[in-house]
Amino acid sequence: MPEAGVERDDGELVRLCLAGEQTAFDALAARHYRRVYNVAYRMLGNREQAEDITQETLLRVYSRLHTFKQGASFIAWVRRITTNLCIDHLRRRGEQTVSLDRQLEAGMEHADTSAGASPEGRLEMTEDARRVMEALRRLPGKQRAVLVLRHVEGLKVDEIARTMKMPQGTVKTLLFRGRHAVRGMVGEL
Amino acid sequence: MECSAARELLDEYFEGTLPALRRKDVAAHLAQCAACAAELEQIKRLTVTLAGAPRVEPREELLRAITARAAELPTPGSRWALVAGWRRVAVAAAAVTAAVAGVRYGGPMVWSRLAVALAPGVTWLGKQGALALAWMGPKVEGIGVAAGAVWEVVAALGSALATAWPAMAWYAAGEAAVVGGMILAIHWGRRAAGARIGTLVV
Ligand SMILES: [Zn+2]
Repeated sequence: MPEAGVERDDGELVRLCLAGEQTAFDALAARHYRRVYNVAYRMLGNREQAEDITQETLLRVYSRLHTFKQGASFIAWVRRITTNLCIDHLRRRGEQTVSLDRQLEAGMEHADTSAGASPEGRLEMTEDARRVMEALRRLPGKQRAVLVLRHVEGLKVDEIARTMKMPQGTVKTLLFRGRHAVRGMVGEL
Repeated sequence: MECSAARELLDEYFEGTLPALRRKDVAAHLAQCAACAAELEQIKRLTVTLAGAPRVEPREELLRAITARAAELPTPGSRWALVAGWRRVAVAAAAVTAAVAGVRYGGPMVWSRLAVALAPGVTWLGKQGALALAWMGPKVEGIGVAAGAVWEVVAALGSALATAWPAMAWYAAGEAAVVGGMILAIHWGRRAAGARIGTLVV
């Protein structure tokens, strides 16, 4: 079923979906849910919540598909929805820092996935990367969000500003503070 | 260049998105400021380190759950078809009113007979509308029943007025109000009923 959409680009699938073809959405979801899940997981540090956010994001994408501007970047649009839902979620969670138990559990999850079935997951995660990811989980929500978008997702400052609807100056300040906090936790890399 | 100004630009310097002139300023500052150079080094290392972070794999059930839930929602395209459908109904109602008005000027008796003939049809339509709304969910049922009742009352009033006193304006105004009311009720109903409206075929 998802294979039907493999050759088609996102814009074409959006058009088909708006024309009432359900399999077009299935193809879009199959193509993007891993990316959405990964962004959410990095931001929330919790698999279950990342699954909830992934589901919420893609259903929102579906129900608002007619508001997507043809020719715009579908990935950027989806990422914006993901990021906003994550930030809302973090706000509701009260910006609390992740407990030590959670961190240990998250560490175990990493051990699981590095031995897991996906080819990407099989890559060995360096000790440094593991320590930095754990430090990220302990940052306040917005700092974590900008650092994840910047260093994990590889977005540029202006893209982060547009994604998070904040001035570029604020993004830079959050990056600066977040990096200092990470350095405080893991030392010089 | 001050350190604070240089730090503001380090991310863009690293990305290569700075204009050439700014780039040269930052490079000059970095050459003579160890603290800012260390900051840039941190950005580089963080990027390189995290680039090695593996993607995590979601459970397979997640995709199935998403597509299954989406299948229960109305397709985004058909919603517009639905709105267009109701616009067509409104236009049709206006056309009927205009035709009736034409008959009215053609002869009061014809108009009166037409109004009486139309009344049961209008009542029937009102009931169907109420039924459709009730089917959409208990929240909407109240609106649907109320709209149906209003429809019936106005239709009865319209036919009575048309028989006794063939004033076209009364009938037209009543009909317009009811059609408008139904469209509003459908709108509220769609909001209240959320996903379930999608399967309603107009
Ligand atoms: Zn400096």
